[in-house]
Amino acid sequence: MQLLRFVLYYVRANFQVALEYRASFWARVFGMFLNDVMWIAFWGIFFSRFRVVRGYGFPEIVTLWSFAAFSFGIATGVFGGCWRFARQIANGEVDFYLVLPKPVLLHLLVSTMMVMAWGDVLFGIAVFLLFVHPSAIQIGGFLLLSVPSVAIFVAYAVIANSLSFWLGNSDGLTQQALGALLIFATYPSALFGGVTRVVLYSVIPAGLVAYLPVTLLRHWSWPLVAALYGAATLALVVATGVFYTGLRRYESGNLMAMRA
Amino acid sequence: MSAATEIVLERGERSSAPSALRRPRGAAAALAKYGAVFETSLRNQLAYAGEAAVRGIFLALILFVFLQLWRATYAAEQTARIAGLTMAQMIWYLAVTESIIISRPSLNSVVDNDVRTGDIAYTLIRPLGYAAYHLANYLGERVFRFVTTLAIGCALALLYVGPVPLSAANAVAALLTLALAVLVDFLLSFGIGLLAFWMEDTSSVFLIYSRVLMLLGGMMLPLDVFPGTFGRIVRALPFGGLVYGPARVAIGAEGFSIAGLLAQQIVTLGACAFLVGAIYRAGIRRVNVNGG
Repeated sequence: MQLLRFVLYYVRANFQVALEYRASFWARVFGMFLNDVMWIAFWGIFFSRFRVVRGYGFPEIVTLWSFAAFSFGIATGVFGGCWRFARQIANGEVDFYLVLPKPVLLHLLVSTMMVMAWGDVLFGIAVFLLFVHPSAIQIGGFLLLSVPSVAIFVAYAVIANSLSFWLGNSDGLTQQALGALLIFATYPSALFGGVTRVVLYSVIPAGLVAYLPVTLLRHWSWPLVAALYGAATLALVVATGVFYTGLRRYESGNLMAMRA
Repeated sequence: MSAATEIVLERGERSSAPSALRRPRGAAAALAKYGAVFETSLRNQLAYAGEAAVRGIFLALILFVFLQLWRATYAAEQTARIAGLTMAQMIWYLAVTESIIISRPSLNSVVDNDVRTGDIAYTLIRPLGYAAYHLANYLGERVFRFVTTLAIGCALALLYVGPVPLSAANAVAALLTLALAVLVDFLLSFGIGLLAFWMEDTSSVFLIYSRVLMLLGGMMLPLDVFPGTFGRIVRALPFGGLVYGPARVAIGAEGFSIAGLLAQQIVTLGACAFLVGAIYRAGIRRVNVNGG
């Protein structure tokens, strides 16, 4: 409960900082919203010319996009540090978090907010409500499934960023790993088979972050929902273990800095 | 290293009147000056081989996804050609369009930063035109990035779908249209960066421009695929000339008017030059220099 209050405090503080530059804030949020709209337009044009591709049509892709955008938006809006703390590790900038009483990893994750992420969140909600026309139960399912999706995304990002403990500055590699997850999570799952499909449910967990939740939204199954929550818990445990194992190798940059 | 060489040369020139008299002037001097900026920018890129590798990984991923998408689409449509392109040509087309988009330098953020930090005041007093300096720098970066990305893209396309028939004439025409497309993109990116004179943050404007280019420029879908009246409007817009046009010419231009594309690009270039010039002049008037 105390940790939840801590997270909420940071979310509020991050909003206050971002809203100091109000025009910039809304420009970024709007920019990301339009970016997502462009992708929906792409799929709209695609499916107006080619009706169905391996069982996927426009309604299916819209659901996939709304869910993926919402989950990704919450993950990087609330836990914005997960987007690129690899560089902070490489530059020896983690000292600040080490001397404070809060859990280092959680503090590192919530201390930054990706402003644009709120454009994704708004887009996800708007598209889900406007195009999917969900019932109240489906809205509840959407929110319930977004929890493990966010957790798995954050866990994956933590592992990708933690590579910096072993590889030095792995920022480029980390960005590619996160980019790969986003790319795969926003294309029809039916396109990928064989080994690629196995990879998408393990090494690059687009299947767990997007495909499975979207399938569950259409065909609800409590055992699979429980399995998804189990996978999310396991992912968080592994990510935390990887981070703290790596942290033992961390070398301070002896930087003098002021955070106000 | 090059800066030190330049100083030595200048000292040498000062000590000798005849060599000073031989110093090139006018267009030749400008060419030498901006040529040096271009060369320096090109050489700087050699230091970022890792970045080129990262671009390669991204390209490999996105082309793999597109390969699966189009393979499924061709199979579902039970056709050998879509928008006049075979499956192999489609993947080559995407390799070229992705290379064009991925190789774009983030010029807008450099100009935006110059304006917001006030660094533009320093650059304005140098013996270099601000826009021309950025053009030379941009071209050096872009040429390196495009060549390396295209090489990776072609290798990937070859690996995924094998070769497609290409002609030397088409390659030359594609290069010409690509050169004009690059100039237009430079002007638009530069102009967006200059909007920092009036806006807190121009990155969202650039994001929108980039996304419009990706969709209406034809990066993800050849513009021939766009249906009906909407398709006709999109093909008439100038964005296609920046991505779709050069890529379509490169892989084969049956039923495609290269002359029409060139005309459209020249008109767009002129309009952009006029517009960005007006933005630049209006912005420069807002520069205030206090103290020293």
